[in-house]
Amino acid sequence: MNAIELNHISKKYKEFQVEDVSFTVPKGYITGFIGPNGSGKSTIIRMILDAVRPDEGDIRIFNEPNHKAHLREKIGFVYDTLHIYEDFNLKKAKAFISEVYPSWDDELYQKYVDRFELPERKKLKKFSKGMKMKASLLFALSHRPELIIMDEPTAGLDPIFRRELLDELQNLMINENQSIFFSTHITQDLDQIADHIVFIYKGRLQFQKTIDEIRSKFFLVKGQTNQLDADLKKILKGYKKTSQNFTGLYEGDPSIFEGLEDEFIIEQATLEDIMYYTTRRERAK
Amino acid sequence: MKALLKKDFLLNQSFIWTLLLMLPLSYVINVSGMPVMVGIMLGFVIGLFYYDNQSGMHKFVVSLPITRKEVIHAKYVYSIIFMFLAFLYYYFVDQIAHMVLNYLDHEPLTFTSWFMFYLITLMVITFYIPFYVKFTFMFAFIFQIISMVIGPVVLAGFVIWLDVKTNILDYINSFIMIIKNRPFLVMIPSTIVVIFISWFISLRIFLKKDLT
Repeated sequence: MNAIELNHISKKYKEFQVEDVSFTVPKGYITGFIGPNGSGKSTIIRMILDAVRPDEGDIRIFNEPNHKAHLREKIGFVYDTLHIYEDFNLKKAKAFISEVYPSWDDELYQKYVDRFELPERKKLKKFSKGMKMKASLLFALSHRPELIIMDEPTAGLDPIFRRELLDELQNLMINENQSIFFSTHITQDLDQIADHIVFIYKGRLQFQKTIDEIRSKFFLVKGQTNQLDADLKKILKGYKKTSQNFTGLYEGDPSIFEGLEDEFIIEQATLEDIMYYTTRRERAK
Repeated sequence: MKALLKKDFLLNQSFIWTLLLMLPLSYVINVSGMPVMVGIMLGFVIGLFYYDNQSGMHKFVVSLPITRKEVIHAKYVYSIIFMFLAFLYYYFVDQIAHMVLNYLDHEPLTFTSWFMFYLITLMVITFYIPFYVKFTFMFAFIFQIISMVIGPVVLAGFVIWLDVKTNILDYINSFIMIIKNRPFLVMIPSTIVVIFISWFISLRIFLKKDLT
């Protein structure tokens, strides 16, 4: 079963459009949503939450139309910052947030307050970026959601808290079997924790694959520039060259390079490599 | 909806303290409570949307299990309840001030004038809500300020211009007489109609609005 399904979603703005995007977020897995800044990730997440209405297509959450408000009882949402009035402290924010969730768990809330070491009486405007993220996570998790949607949660965080956050997400997966949909342009965050990847660029879906598929199908090909002939350019998804060397992204069975080990170096591509070479202007046509 | 009412109450706490302190103070310095209440009315509409706008709260609210209808309902219900309590406080402060402070040179509020003032306030507040729902906060704020300052002058000018052609002032005077003779009969239905139209427009706008 899928936690989220997008079917042929389109949305047109003056200078940007999301075009015929379809993908699924499988239940019980971490799905990474990648793409450079401005590629439409936040717009799509807002459409999933029904904050923005698509011009075409439909979105389903747990097999129901996404506009049904009761569905959001099952969702914990984490933005890149805390959108709660900053003169509030955690106690005041909790006073109204806990009211809307029938499944709100005060004990769990207190557990996270303690674990994240958050001061309950300090005004939110005095929180650091990391503390705000923790507070956002605190409110997203305290009603035991089945699905957690995160929009660039690691942007602007220091490396230590970023790592802690990712560990926390992995713990949730292990202990609670929640589904997580996690948008980021920092692809290293997903290399280790994601099970599925959805890649979007300029409002269009590039691919949806499992992390195992990506590992077994995407490779970096390195060699000397004079080896970069028309045939090779044709099979590369993108490449970068200097006067001496080239590096390109290849998608497919790496066995075609067997016997050519002296000429080319074949390496596993990271998500960042895939994003970089796919979106690069100077890519092979 | 209870949660949204609670949120607005929590957001308005400093505003409530201002009302609680300013109103008695105005009587102590021999100023009628009316200018304070007009100020409260102005500040209330702005405050109703300012805090949400400042914190991007609407982005957060749509991620909660709350329907868009409830968001709009809550704004109206909160406005009606808050202004009623504020006016109730105004009435009691006015009555007590006229009993205690013998130097006051303005007349105490009658129940009718108090109630008419409350209804007019509700009409003014609900008139502006759809503008805040439709447009950006800054646009709606500027519109409200300009229309409240220039609006009466422009309206008066328009009525005088129209009066030359149609003797509209006679009709207006007769309408004012009807209100004076039967204040409750005219003002209560008028207020209900204005609130309903405002609520209906706000709802139509908000149900279709992209919350970016």
